[in-house]
Order: sequence, then structure tokens, then C-alpha cells
Amino acid sequence: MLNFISSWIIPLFILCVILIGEIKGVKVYDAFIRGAKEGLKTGIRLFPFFLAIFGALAVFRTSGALNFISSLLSPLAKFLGIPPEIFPLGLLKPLSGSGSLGYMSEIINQQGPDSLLGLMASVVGGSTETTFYVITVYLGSIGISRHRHTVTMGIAADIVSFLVAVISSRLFFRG
Amino acid sequence: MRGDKVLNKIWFALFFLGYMVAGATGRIEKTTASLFISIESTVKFTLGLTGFLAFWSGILRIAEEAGLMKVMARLLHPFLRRLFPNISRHAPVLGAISLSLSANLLGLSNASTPLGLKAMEELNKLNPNPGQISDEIAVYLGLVMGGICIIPSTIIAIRAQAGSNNPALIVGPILLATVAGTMAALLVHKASKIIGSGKKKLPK
Repeated sequence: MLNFISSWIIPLFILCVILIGEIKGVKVYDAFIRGAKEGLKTGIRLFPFFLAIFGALAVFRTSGALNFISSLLSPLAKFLGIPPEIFPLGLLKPLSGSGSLGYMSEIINQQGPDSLLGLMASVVGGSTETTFYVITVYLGSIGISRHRHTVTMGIAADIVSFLVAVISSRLFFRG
Repeated sequence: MRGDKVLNKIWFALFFLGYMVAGATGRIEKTTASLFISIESTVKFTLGLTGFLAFWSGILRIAEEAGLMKVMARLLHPFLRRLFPNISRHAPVLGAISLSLSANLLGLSNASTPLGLKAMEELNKLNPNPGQISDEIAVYLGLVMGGICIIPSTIIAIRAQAGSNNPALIVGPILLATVAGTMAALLVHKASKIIGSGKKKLPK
């Protein structure tokens, strides 16, 4: 059921948008080009980040260091019921958006996007915004440095969303 | 996306520890080969991803120019009234907030920071104590950090690029997780308000 709905979401959304745009008199082709130019900029901007993370992870993984650290974290992860590959992603999420995006992509590419781990990594990757980034950039933009309890709010969001992501992945994507 | 201190330390550690273990286990050549292969695969990966992102941004631009963002804002209005009871319903800040939240909801990642900063600017204009975090600012930050998202476009694009049979399969669980996280953030804020007012009531 979930499979059916989610394979229709994308084409339905695209068709609806183009249709509504046409009805509203939007020059759909021109608007598409304008948007695509923006999207191109975003993609190119991501390249150095991926280069840095994939390179570092390639070294870390091939050397065997990843397995080593994984086995160190494994008892804690297992105790919490979290796959040891996903656990570092949860720790990285509040700290770095680009880092966690890169690590998530690595898991997706290594394990396959439709494997349980790939799916779980995807869900964890989208489960929350980067607390550290939001606090520093958003509060910094209005000149506030004392963050009161907002960091606690962010961490609470990170922990809860991580657990919900792991549990719902298990529930929805088992076999 | 910036190079924060923690990420710098992590990146350094990945290379350093990696090569230390590689040296200890005799995998230096294999590791270096893997590093250079990763460069090529990063180019291929980013190229494909950029294609998807460009396509998706094109579609979302049509949506924006067709006024769908304004429709989203109107849909959000009842929720915003409940979350920000002290803001009058016609205040321009509500427009800025709903635009920024709509951008997050639709996965418009390049728009979300500029729109979010605009919302912060507007919220700060209503701030009774500039330099301190007002109630409304805290609630807004909770919404941003929780990151409720209906269409996580970057993640869908990465999955599609990796060859997924069903890139959008993760939409439901992500919505669940982001809603749960947002509620947690707002609960913490509520709790801190209760604790704060409790402290004020304590007799000296």
C-alpha cells in the first residue's frame, strides 16, 4: 500500500503542478528553466562537500577503521536497538548538515537505496534539521548569542526524531 | 553549509585514523586507490544528483509562480494562529513565517535559509527585549529545527541517483519523524515556560 502511494506521489505532483501552472497562465516551460538554473547552482554548490566527505569516508572505510569504530560502538548501539551503521549518523545529525548528508549518501550507495539500512539512513537523514547550524545562523542573524533553552529544544527534536525514524523504518520496511 | 569546528575535527580524524589503521593493517595502497576512485564516483554522483535537483527546482518554480506557495500559506494559517497567539492575524511576520515553513515543507532547501532569516528579522521587530530570545522566536526556531517536511526533495534525489526503485518510499516515515521531533522541541519550550513562571512564583 505504502509502495503504491509513494510511487504515485512524484508523477502526480509533477502533473498537478504543471496543470495548475498552465491553468493559472504561468509560462510553464520558462518558469521551469528559471527554477532549473537555481537547482543547478545548488547541485554544483554541493560538489565540494561530497568530494570532501566521500574521500574521507573512502579512506576511513577501506582502511578498516570504520569496522573498528563500528565494533566499538556496537554494544551501545545494540543495547539501544539501533543498527551500528546508523548510530554514527544519529550522532552526526545535530552537528553537521553536509556531513550527515554525505554519510547518509555513503550508506545509501554502499548498502543499496532500497535495503533496510539504505531506507533507514534515508529516513534518519531527513528526520530533522541541523540544530547547530540553525542555532548559530538564525540567532546570529539577529545578533543573539545566548541561546537559552533553544539548544535543548533542538537536541530533544534530534533524539526523538532519530528514534521515530529508526522505529518507523523497521515497522514500514521490514521484508 | 559551513565548515564548523566539529566537522573540521571529524574530517581530520577520518583521514588520520584511516591512514593509521591502514598502515597498521598493510592496506595503504588499497586505501589510496579507494580515495582516488571515490573522486571519480563523487563526480558521477553529483552530476546525476544535480540533474535531479535542477529538474525538481524547475517543477517547484512553476508551483511558486502559480501561487501554490500562497495556497500553502493559507493552509498553514490556522496552525500559525495557534502557535503564535500573541501575533495579530494580519501582521506581515506571519507571511514571512509561512513562506519559510512552506519552503521547508516542500523541500526547497536553497530557499529555506534566506526565507528563514527574513522570518527571524520580522520576529525580532516584534521582540520586546532585543538581544534576548522572545517566546515567538523560540517557537519559530522549534519549528525550523524540527524541520517538518512533506517532500524531502534532496533525499529523494539522492535515492533516485543511487538507483532506487522507489525513491519517494521514505516520505511517510520522514513526515512522522519530523512531526515527532517538532513536537518534542515545542514541548521542551512549553516546559521551560512553565518552569520559568514557577520560579518567579517562589517566595523569596
